[in-house]
Amino acid sequence: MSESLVLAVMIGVLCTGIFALRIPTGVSLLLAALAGSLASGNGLALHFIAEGSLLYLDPLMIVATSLFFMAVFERSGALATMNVWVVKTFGDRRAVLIPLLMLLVMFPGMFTGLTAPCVLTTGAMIAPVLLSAGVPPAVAGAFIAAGAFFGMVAPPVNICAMLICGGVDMPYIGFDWPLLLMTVPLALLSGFLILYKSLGGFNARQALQSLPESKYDLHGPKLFVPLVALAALLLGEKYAPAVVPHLGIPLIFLLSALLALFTGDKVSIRESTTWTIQQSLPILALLVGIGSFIEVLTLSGARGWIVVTLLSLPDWQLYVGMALLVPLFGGVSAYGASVVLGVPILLSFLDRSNILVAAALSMLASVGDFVPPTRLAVVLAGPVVGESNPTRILKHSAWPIVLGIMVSLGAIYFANDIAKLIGLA
Amino acid sequence: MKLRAAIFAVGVLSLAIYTGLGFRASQVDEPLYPSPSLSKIVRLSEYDSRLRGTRADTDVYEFGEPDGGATILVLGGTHCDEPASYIAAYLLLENIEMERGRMLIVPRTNRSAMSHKTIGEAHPPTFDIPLPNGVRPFRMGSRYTNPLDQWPDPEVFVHSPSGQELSGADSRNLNRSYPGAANGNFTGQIAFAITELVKQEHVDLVIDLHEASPEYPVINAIVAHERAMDCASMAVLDLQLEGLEFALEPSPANFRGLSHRELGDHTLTHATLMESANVSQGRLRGKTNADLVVSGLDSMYVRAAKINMTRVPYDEKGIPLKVRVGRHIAGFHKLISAFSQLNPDRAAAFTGIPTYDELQQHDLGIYLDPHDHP
Repeated sequence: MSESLVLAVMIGVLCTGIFALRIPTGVSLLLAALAGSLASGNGLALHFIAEGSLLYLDPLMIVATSLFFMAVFERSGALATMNVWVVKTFGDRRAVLIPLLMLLVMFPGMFTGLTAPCVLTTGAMIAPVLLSAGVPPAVAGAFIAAGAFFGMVAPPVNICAMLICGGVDMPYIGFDWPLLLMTVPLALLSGFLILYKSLGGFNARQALQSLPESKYDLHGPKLFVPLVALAALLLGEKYAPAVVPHLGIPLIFLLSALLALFTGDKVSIRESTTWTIQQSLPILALLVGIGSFIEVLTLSGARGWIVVTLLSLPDWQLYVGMALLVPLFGGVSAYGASVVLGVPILLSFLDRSNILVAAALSMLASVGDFVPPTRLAVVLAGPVVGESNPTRILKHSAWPIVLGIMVSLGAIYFANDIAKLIGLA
Repeated sequence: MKLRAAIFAVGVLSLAIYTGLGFRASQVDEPLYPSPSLSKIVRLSEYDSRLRGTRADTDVYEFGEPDGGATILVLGGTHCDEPASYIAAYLLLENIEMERGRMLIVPRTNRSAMSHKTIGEAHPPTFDIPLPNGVRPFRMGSRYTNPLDQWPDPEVFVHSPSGQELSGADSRNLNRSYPGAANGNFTGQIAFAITELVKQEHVDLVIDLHEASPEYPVINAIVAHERAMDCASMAVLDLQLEGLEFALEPSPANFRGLSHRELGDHTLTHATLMESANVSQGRLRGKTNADLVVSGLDSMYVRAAKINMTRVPYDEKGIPLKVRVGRHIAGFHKLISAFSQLNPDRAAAFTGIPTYDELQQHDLGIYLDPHDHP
């Protein structure tokens, strides 16, 4: 069977599983991988299915441990205390509150290059503030997902751009200004567009009544020691490697969570662990399924077919193709889209500023965190805001998606001009 | 519910055991058959004892004696998803006869990377090279050190001592880790040991063998540090005169961690690196299997060549392994010849290694047959 037909079979099985049979997306992805390996003449290819399932072992552990951290941090009373402080200080100033919350959500992504820590740490911290202000859960989820998306792309750490650089042996140097210009204005604009209407009737006093009470008087500043430890270990690993050992993000979350057991209200480990497993299991299954799906996509040649077909498109069609295919592939994996599509596309634009093109492609690939089948930013935001249907969150996420794609394409088209303007050329 | 969970758990466990046994097979080194000219085999841990007993402790094959001739180091298998790099090194160590000088060959430079595959790339665990009577299987490895030896990756890999930032996975990429550090990570220790080997053995010429995807800009090329530029220029001219298209690439000064840059800067050696075009590691490739590794023929790359997405000529003939190994062997001949002409007092001489044409005529299997070398 040809590569294009194998791809059609895999997508067909995936859609049938998700939409017709209502099987969980993770399981549907596994079934699609099995169908792809059979259709491409590789039999059941269990070796590759098992190998692929480990592709996202690290993100998988980050999701599980960061959720556990949030569970313990919330139950210790620290989260409520922080939310009360934010509402008291900025509650009546929408023009300050929205940018502040947006930058806060972005912060962890700027240093990890991942959406999960944004959604599950600072995103989870600001969620009660938004909900207490009467923002509908789906809108609050879209705001958090947008912040996570822009945080993932923003400097100094943009893993997608680094992966593209690695593919063409280009040092990750000179990206800070282009990425900052491409993300912060868009993030603030998206934040206002998503939230301004919903925050219209915000009443700080009313919001304070609906929030859990502050535990600051009971526990004092030690409530925030786990958060400080988390930030110190995450940042110290990069900026003070001689002092802070390399522990890896999952262990950092776990250690910070253990610390939170002793800094506030009494926390039940059993209850927190059970909550974590319940919340994380569908996401973990999704990541396992995606890994196997990608492995079979490569094994069968469907991956190569997608790349060559995209690069075969002439002129303006190539821009349309990029706008559709890169985020779509990013919907399977943003990192995968960066390596598989980002590198060849960059090589086909070698007459333009490499830095601008790579930065733009990294944003285009990261849009994939909104796109099915994973919709990772949206799926993660669901439990954080208490919205069981991720599609509702997605409906409110149009602004960051559209702005992200338009600005990325513009940055590629005008790469040399922009590079001159900001002194890169 | 409990019964269903138990059945599911048993199923997953069975799958893990079944596939796990297959993965373990990747950790067994295939036998190599050094030529009678072998003087000794030492372990890389001789140059950094921290590697002793680890999966990175690899064999260093030494041919010839210290007789005033040049000491040459060949590195194969730095990236173990680049088969021409280690098959060329195997071919050299199984056939070479030294007449003057010393030849050090490290066929599995990152032995840890040979013990697993890169997840997501769907590479076959092994591929076969046909012999006159039968086949000889070889493993396909990974570009990166096995995560069983070094894990987890940082989000950002900061190269030491330059401070250059790369994606976290590159912390397990040996050819981004030179010169290595005594207190570095596992991959950095391998780089450190190789750097120490070059220093302690007074290596005159380093030839690091690699492959790259056909769309990669530096391809079918010899990359040379400034000190090795004269030698590499002569070699490239000679190769072109013989009809083999090679480009000469200067080692970029602002991209750190690569063998040609760091060995050139931190030791007195002449550091060079060769690249051939390998479709099985390309992002544009179609079906991925053992045949693709050996035949180098891929329909997607034929399409890609038609839209000028490849940096090397590519058509329905493909770029077979024997051509890629042949190019490395041809480059090896010419680099040593050029070095010897430029440094007559340190000249090296050898026999037993086929020319590019001989390799194309006889095929690889003739030179890799453990029982019957021509």
